[in-house]
Amino acid sequence: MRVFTIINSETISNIYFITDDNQTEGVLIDPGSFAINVYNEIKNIGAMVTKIIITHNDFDKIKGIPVIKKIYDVEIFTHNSSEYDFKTTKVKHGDTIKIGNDTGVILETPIKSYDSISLKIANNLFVGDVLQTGGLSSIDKTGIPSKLELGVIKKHFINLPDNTIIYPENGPATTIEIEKKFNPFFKRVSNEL
Amino acid sequence: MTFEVCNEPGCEKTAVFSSNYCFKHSDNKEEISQSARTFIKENSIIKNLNFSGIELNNIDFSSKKILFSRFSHSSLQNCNFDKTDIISVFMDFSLLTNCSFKNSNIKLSVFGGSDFRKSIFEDTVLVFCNLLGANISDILFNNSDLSHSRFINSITTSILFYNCNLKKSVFNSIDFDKKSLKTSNCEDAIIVTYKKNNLKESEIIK
Repeated sequence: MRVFTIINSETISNIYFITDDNQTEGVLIDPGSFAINVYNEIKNIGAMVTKIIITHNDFDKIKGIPVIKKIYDVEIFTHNSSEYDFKTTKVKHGDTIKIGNDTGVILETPIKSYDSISLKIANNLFVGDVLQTGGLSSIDKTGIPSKLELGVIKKHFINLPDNTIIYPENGPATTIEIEKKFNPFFKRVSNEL
Repeated sequence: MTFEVCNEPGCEKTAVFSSNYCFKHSDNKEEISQSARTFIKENSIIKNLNFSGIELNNIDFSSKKILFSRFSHSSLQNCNFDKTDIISVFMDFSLLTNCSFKNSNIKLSVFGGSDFRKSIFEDTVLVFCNLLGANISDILFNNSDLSHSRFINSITTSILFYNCNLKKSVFNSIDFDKKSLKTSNCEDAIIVTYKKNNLKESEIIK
């Protein structure tokens, strides 16, 4: 499995393209406006987009879907299928999505958005707007977390192996080990266990 | 990126270069180190490889392309990364002291918990990078682009950002001496106010 990070030039957020080892087909996570730089990067990678996962319903994340559907034959996965004006496949906690030889597992992680989902594939965790490197859903928060936020960290993330890579919607990637040591919210949950 | 898991029962780490085990559980550590050093010296593109835990001191990486690779918990002291492309690379918790990153192009890479003391950053592009908890004290960043990189809880004493692009760079106000930002566009940086110690129960929104 390969993970490519493409910067959404409009919102300066991350779009992830996960492909099989041979880079023949791939899954796009939160494609955004699907600007020309994103299309060109996918073309350079060489894999066909076959699936799209939308981690939460945000106009910035789905704006490019009509364009993508004209180019690729894609199946779109969302947590709440009724909210979109295009056909989607509804996924819930524990559902699996095949990506090459790997299988991704959906986690329901409602923090910033009630319909937020995360995707775990091997030691990779795609968290959408749930977490950011060194913080929670917003990096410029004053440092006051909600019980819900800490609860999601405790339930789904804190017990993952240290070398698990976290891919957030905004900001650079990180690992569980880094967050446990330097993210004050993770440290707090970690100390409670 | 996904690498094969170490063959040692119960080990969650990934297998390193030329081995089916992580570096800790590999029997032939010296042989692995030597073959890794030879591979790096002979190849200009290092892609999709895992060198985690391996000692790779005093290597000349200059003008190479390092892509989608892992050097977590490695020792990379006295290495030369001048004019090197480092894209989507993990060098977390690594020793990177006395290294040179002049004119290097570093993007989407992770250096959390690493030690950069006495390293040189000059005309360096270091964007969308994670430097959480990194020791970057006694460093002068000259004419570097550090935009969208995160320095939360980094040790940042005796550091000067001279003529750097700090757009959306994130610093922790507690650890950071704001005076050192003044020769760059510090008004574009994000200074967060996370507390260093754990938050108290009363500070959590119920």
